Amino acid sequence: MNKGHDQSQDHESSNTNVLTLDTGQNQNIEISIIGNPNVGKTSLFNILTGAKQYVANWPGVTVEKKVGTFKYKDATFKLVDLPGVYTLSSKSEDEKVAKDYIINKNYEIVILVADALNLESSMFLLLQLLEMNVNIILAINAIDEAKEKGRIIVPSPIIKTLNIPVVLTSARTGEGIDELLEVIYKYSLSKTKSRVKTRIKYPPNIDKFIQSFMELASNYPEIKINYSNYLENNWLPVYFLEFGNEDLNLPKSFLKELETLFDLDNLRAEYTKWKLDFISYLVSSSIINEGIDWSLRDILDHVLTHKVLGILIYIFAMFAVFSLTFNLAQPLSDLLELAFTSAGNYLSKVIPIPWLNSLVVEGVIGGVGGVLVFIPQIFILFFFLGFLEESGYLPRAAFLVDRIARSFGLSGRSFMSIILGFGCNVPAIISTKTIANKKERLALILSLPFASCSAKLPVYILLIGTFFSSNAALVLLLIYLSSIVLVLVSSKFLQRFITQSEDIPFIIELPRFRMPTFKNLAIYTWNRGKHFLQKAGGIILVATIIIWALSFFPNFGQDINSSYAAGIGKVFEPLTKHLGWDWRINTGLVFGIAAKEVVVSSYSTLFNVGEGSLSFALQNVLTPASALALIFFVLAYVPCFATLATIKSETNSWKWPIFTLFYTTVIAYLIANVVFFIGGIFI
Amino acid sequence: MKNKNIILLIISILSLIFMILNISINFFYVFAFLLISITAFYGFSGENEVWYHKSAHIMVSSLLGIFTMAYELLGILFSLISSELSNIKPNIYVIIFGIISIVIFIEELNYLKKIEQEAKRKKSL
Ligand SMILES: Nc1nc2c(ncn2[C@@H]2O[C@H](COP(=O)(O)OP(=O)(O)O)[C@@H](O)[C@H]2O)c(=O)[nH]1
Ligand SMILES: [Mg+2]
Repeated sequence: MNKGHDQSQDHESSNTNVLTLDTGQNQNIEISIIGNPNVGKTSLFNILTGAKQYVANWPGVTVEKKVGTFKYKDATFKLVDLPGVYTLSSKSEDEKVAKDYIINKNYEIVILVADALNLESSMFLLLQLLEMNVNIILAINAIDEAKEKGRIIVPSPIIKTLNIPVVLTSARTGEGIDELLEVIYKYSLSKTKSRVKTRIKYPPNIDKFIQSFMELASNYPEIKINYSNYLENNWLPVYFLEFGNEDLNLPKSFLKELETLFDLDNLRAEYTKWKLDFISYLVSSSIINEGIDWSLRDILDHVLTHKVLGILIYIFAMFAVFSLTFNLAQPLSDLLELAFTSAGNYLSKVIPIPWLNSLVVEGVIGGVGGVLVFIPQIFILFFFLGFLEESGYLPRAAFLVDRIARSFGLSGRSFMSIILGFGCNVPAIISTKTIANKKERLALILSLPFASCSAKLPVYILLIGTFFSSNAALVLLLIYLSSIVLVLVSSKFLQRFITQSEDIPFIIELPRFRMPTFKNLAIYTWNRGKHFLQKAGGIILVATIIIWALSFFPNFGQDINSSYAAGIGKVFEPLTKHLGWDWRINTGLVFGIAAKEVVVSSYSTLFNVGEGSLSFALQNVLTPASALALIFFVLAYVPCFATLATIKSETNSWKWPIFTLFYTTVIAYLIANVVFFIGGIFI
Repeated sequence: MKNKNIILLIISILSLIFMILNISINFFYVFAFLLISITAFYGFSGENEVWYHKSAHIMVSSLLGIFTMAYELLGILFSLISSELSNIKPNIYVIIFGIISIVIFIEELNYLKKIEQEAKRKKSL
């Protein structure tokens, strides 16, 4: 691809080829991928390993490291995908994951992935890795987009100055991947000693500081023991200069001595300036721009980030997605319903044993089938949401709402967790790892269950379709907007009770607009939809059978009103009677704790819809106002088991999931009452 | 296109008319046309931000018009599954506006490309 690079490679491999034969065999050579968020690390990881990790067009998706393997020629490599970071300090948990990994040096090579259109911001990481004496291959990715923008990357200045291999890649078009493999192969086989190491030339003042620091440190045995990882290649003094003593905790007496020798603040400023200059020199000498500053992306950005229009267009987009979901899915959903009803009718005729007949027809087909008819809605919604997300549009809301979010004590970043939460709360809660502010993080974790996850969708669709079919999309939009407001208000509320404050500024980077590939969209839709299908065959099926049994016994289906199921629901009747919810509604809600879809399947069973439609049965029981109250209750009440377990593991305490259990239910009950009251006035 | 204010004016007025025509038909389209009108309207002022400010508002409002038409067409396509051809009534306003939007979008895109070419030529001289 470029002369400078090839030469340096040849040069290097010529004296290491001999080693090729006796090392590569049967060895697992560990390599890791690191880089800023959203530069294409996971995409490259997937290409190299053939894995299907979740790739999204926004920062903060990979928060834990992922491992895969691949073979090239005679060598086997173990590849680790790290979370996206800007620097390696310990300020947030994802950075810590990356830093701990890098510092422990159990790997051979680090592939630093940089974004061709934003080289500068990767350079900090690059220099830091060099300072840590890590073996680096620099992959400048998204080279297709750079070309499109009329930007040519010439890596030879970087190769010559820093003495590292550089490959230009595109995870989109596959360009440069073969070359990357070849470089990895050659580089991993050259023995560590024979690799030319880069020594960064610091300004004299900094050099002097590094020297004195190390001399001083040698008088402190505890430093030698506790910071052995940092001492190699004099990383400790540089790290200290860059990030201060916060997460280092060097001995006090040592710091005192150091302070008498140097003016640390001045030195820090000098170091920072040197770094910035060095980086801008490197970058400007590697980029050639042609063409004028204009692209369709900039045009879209200009309007879509407008502080009023941006939000309006955003709401419009969501509205369109919801309308499409209802309109497109309805005919398909009707067909499925027809299929289930005829299957039920047929089976009810051929199964002679009464209890088995009831179990299969009313329990399994009525219940699970009642949920499965929503497959079209769920897949279509995910498809369009996937499109918005992958194109980079959805995550932009984070930018638009940043100011609003700040007044709730959150940052725009947290909005991305809410969006993730629309799919499933579990990854949403895990994604809060990127939030450095502990107070903000805890408040968000405890409020994220209010993000309306996809499991609640069947309940909404059932009730909206039954009671509000003429304004279906609008009501759904209202629910999702309320869900966002609920998360925001709840975190503001909870933050009042969480003591501990530190304010860490948050920089949002806008993901670029990209046309999603159909393949990515298909993977996205399938991954999320698959989850729904698995649940239908698992927890939903089990719960439905249990509910059927509870409604069938003890009087063998003669009188459902005195069954066990009725007993459970009736306990709550005093609380829900004024809302117009009878015991069947309550029993469904109780079992919905297992999985929200179970609310729908249990209604199918409890309302005993063999032939007639569930909608019809519900219309006889609920008024529109009590249905709306029910919708909002389902939106807010107890998260599923998986979410509670995640809260436990992320907060390391049982206190918080138990708190969430009560907190969400109380709030849900309050909201249901308010909605019922207001709904009673308007509808 | 040279006369950007006229284009912006046409878009914002036309979409307002179509919005009114849709009021008794479909709330979604009312929202869509209102949004298009506002987007075009914002194009009149704030020119000094970037040089392509007006073009951007023209292009985004026409894109919204195209998306709205795509929405209508998708709906028609899917309802073919369940109902007869004769029962389907397409919303002509949306389709007319969509076609106008396509023309405006392409014209504006070509105009911007032309500027780009000229700038390149000047640079290489
Ligand atoms: N055009 C283009 N898009 C890319 C390329 N690599 C990744 N992407 C897209 O960039 C986004 C972020 O990719 P991802 O692998 O999740 O980045 P990560 O956060 O670094 O792991 C996704 O939408 C990818 O489809 C590339 O080389 N070219
Ligand atoms: Mg990733």
